Amino acid sequence: MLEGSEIIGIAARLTVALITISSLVFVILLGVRYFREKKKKALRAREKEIEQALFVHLSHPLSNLEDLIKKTPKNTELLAKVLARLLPLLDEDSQDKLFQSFKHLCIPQWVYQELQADKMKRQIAACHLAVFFADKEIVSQLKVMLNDSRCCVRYAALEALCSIGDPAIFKEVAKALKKEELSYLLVSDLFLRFDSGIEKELISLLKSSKTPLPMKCAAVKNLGEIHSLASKKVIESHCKRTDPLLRQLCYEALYRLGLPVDLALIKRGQKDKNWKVRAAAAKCASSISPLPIETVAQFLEDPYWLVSLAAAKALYKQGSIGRNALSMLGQARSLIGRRSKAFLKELEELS
Amino acid sequence: MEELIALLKLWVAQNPFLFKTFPYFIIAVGLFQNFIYLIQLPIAGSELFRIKLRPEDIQSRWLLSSKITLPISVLIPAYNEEVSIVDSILTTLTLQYPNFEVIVINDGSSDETLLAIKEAFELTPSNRAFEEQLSHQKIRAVYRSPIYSNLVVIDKENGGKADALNAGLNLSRNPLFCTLDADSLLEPTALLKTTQAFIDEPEKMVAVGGTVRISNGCSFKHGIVNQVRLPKKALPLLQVMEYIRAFLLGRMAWSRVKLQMVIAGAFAVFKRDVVMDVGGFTKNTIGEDYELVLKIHERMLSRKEDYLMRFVPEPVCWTEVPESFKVLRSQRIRWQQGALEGFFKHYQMLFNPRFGRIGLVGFPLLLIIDVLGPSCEFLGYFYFVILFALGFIHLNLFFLFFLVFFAFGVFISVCSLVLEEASLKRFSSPKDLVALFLVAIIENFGYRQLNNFWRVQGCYRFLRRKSSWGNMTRSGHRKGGLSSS
Repeated sequence: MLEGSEIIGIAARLTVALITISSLVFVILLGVRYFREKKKKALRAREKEIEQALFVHLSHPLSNLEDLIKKTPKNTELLAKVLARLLPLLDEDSQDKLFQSFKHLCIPQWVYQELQADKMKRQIAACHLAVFFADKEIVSQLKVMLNDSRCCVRYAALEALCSIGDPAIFKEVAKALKKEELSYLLVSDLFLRFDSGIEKELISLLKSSKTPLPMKCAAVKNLGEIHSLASKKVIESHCKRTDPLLRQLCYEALYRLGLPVDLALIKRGQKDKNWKVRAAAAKCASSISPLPIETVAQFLEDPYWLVSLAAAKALYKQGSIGRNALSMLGQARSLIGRRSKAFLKELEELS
Repeated sequence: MEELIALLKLWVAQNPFLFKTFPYFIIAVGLFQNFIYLIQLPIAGSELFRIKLRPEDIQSRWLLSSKITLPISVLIPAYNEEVSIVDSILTTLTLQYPNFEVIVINDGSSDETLLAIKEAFELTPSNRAFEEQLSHQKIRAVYRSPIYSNLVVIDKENGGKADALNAGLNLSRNPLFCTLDADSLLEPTALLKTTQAFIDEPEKMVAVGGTVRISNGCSFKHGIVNQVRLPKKALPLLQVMEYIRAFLLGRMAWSRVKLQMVIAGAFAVFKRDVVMDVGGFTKNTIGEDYELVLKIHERMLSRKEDYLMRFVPEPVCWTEVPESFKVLRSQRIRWQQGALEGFFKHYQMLFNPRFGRIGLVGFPLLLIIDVLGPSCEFLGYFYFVILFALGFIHLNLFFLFFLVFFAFGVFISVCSLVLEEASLKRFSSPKDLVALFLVAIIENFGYRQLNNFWRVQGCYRFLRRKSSWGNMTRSGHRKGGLSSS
């Protein structure tokens, strides 16, 4: 056992050590801050220089962009940052003009080299640039990067490949995605970058029993977004699946497709335990022609009022038929009437 | 008097435990508290490093145009906030987010809060439908603004902050909602950065908290913090260090190890369904945000559901802090009352293996830091002085107590500054860092003790069950605010 005086001794030494360490850490912190500020200032100046040179180049194509770009290769992140900020501000002609000049300056080759860089940050920045300069070599390098051991690099490559948006790449992207643990929203965002060119692939993904759930959910969401009429049957078959999210997304996709949905399927959705599935089914019910008024009325007295609101909103969107139905239902003295009346008032106010 | 001292001496002498063991127990509790902070340091550091790997600004940009952002309702409860409310709403309305609505709840203010909003936004009565899933005081009227279609204002009878938030929740329809104090300002990309966590984990994520920083002293342009400066007054300056420590050290570390026990109500995003499921905010509580987090933990763990709560350091919410002792005192007393209320309301989780890591680690840590910590430290100050005066302990031990707390305090604060520099880098001038280093030293002499005293008063108040919304005199973010520009 330690004596009281020994404990005091240890504590005193600990105190001195802690204060010394604190002071040292603080001095180092100030030093780091000094050098970081210096570097930041230089980078900012360089960023401005590049930005200005790019603008000058756009109005005077003969201006020398080469010298400036030659100084940049060691800083992929800088160029990626400038381009990411600049490109959305430019019209398509100016963008094309810039890309042609970049191609002339062998920037795509440089991007290709940067994709193979040893530092992760440079690789990721190169991925952002790769979207603008995608050629065969760059795409194949990005595909190689899909197998990288670092998840940040893999994700950057996935993002770049999807943003390039070539449907021919989709199969490999889907294969890589199956190995990742990404949420359905992130997968959906990646899929959305392909636009409507991947409809068939999305349907087969949905059909396949080997597709992981987040990918299935993303596929359904995107089929709805791209109004894939061909996917109706397969989406309908997924309305009966066990996962509530998948069921909800299926009903929502069906609503987006705008095609008549089987009433039995809607009634099945109406009995779902999950209110979000019921709300999505309610939207589908309200968009059927001729309107299944009895079913819609049942949705309007759902225990959860947001389900009723979803039905009312969809009904109102239908135009005069829907509005008249809502107004008629509003005359009832029950919960259906009260809700219909209140929703109609609000929807009229908003329109 | 002399007789009394002699009796006390005799009593202490007859109980050697009081001067041989108990002083070391008090020091041990203090050391253990600091040991927890030491553990938090590397954990918070590793989390910051992990977050830094993400190319944040590029992600935020694509999220703005993406179809995957989740709609969100921003709930702003307001009680007597006529000075700052218009600026707060305007700043919130200019947030960069594709799909959001702002719901302001006037909780029966006795000043001109509602009139100020009505005039600034030309409010008209609205027929917005809602059903009372959560109970709250009567809603007098709901208003909309013809200028901003995504602004809804609720005027209701006074019922407290939790009651106001419940009313807002009843009227909100989006899957996510964000609570924001009426005196707080969000950075333009704050919502985008916070909801990123919900996009990453749409099924599991139930709540996300952001960093709350002090706006006193900062300069504003168009309702946005233009330049971060340290407050000129001493009291807010001392609080700057406290906030950095609390958010970048504590919250960040606990978030990493899934022990998020506190999410500041000043700026937090929750999943609406989950909060509705636990019955919304508990009325007549002081720390309704803290209590809500504990309630969610309890519900989710008892149902064995897989869920996540996260702290994200980047989205920053700026808030005004008290500049007078009187207001600060009442704020700290309220916070302590709230902490104790939450703890004792959910004490059944303490050491209960049914509640997993929260019951076995999170709650015991709350016990040490929030329940025992302040009382022990405060008791220690008096205890050591008395024992020393009676001649039972050596002068060395008396100083040791102060030194240990002081040295650890400075060390932890400096390390928090390093974390701040590694992540947010909000202080533009090295002078500010030097000032904060000095604050880290100075706060240990007086401010810390005062804070502990207020917390002990909070414990006393908790035992007497006194509560109120609490008033704070605000200067408002007027200089450079939207309404003035």
